Amino acid sequence: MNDGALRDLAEVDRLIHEPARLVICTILYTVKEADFLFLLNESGLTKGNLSSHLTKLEEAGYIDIRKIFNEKKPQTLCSMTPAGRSAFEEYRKYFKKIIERMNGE
Amino acid sequence: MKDKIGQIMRKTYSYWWVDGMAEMGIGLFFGILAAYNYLIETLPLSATVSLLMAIAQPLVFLACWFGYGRLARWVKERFTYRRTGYVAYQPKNRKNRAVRALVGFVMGFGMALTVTFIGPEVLKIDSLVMVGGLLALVTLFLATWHGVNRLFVVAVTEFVLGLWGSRLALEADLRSILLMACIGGVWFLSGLITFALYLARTKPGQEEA
Repeated sequence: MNDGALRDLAEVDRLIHEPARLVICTILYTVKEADFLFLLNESGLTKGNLSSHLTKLEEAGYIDIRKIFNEKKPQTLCSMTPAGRSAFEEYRKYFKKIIERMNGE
Repeated sequence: MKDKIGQIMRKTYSYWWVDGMAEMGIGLFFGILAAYNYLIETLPLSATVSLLMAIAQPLVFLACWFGYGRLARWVKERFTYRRTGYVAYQPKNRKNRAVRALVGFVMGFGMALTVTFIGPEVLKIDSLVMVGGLLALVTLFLATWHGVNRLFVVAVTEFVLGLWGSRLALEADLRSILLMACIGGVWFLSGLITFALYLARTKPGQEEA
C-alpha cells in the first residue's frame, strides 16, 4: 500500500467504518425505515450492542430514531438522515478509491 | 468491502421474499389470468360481452394487484413484522418508475413477439415451450438477483411445464390456460410452503427493554 492510499485510509469516516455500524448503515441506506427487531435479526448483534451503535449514529446525526406504540407494543423505527446518506455515499466512494489505488500498485 | 456492502444490500432486499407472500401473489396472478381466460373461452357469452371482458382484463388485474397488496400488508403486519421485523423500502422515484415501465413494456413486447412469432414461425418451437422457457428465464433472473434459491426450482418447473403443455392433445387456447393455471399453482405452492416453514422457524420477537 502506498502513502497516498494510507493517507486516504486515515481520513475514512470512522463512525461508519466500524464493522457493526457499517452493517447498520448499509441496511438503513438500502431501506426507507426499519425497526429494531429487523436490524437485530439482520445484523446479528445483541440488543445492547445494537442499541449503543444506534445511539452513536443518532448522536452523529446519521440516523433518526422514532419510538412508537404499535397495538400497545413499543416499536423503535430507524431511518437514515440525508446527512447520513451523504456520509455513507462518501464513505463508499472513499473506499472504492482506496481499493482502486491498491489494485493499481 | 464493496462486495460485502453489496451482499448486505441484496440480503436486505431479499427480505421481501422471506415469508412467501410475494410468491403467493404471483401464483394468484397467474391463477386469475387462467380463470379469466377460461371464462372468456368457455362461457356461452355474446360477442359484445366477450369483447368487454377482454377489454376489462387489464382493469381486473390492476384491481387484483392493489387488492393483493393490501392483503399482503395485512398478513405481513400480523405475522412477518412481529417475528422478524418491519422494513419499508425506498419508494421509487419518477425516473426509476419510468425506466421500469419502459423495461417492462419492452420485455412484454419482446416476450409476446417471441411467443407468437419468433418461436413458432422462425425457430419452429411450440409457443408453450417458449412461454415456459421465457418465464423460467425471468424466474432465474429473480432467483439470482434476489438470492432466493427456491426460485431456481420454480424456474425449472416452469420450463418442464412448458414442455409438458406443448404435448397435450388439447386446443391451443385451453393448453395455454392450463399452463398458466399450473404455473400459478407452482408459484402459490412455493409461497405456501415457504410461509409454513417461516412460521415454524420463527416466533414473535420482542422489542428492546
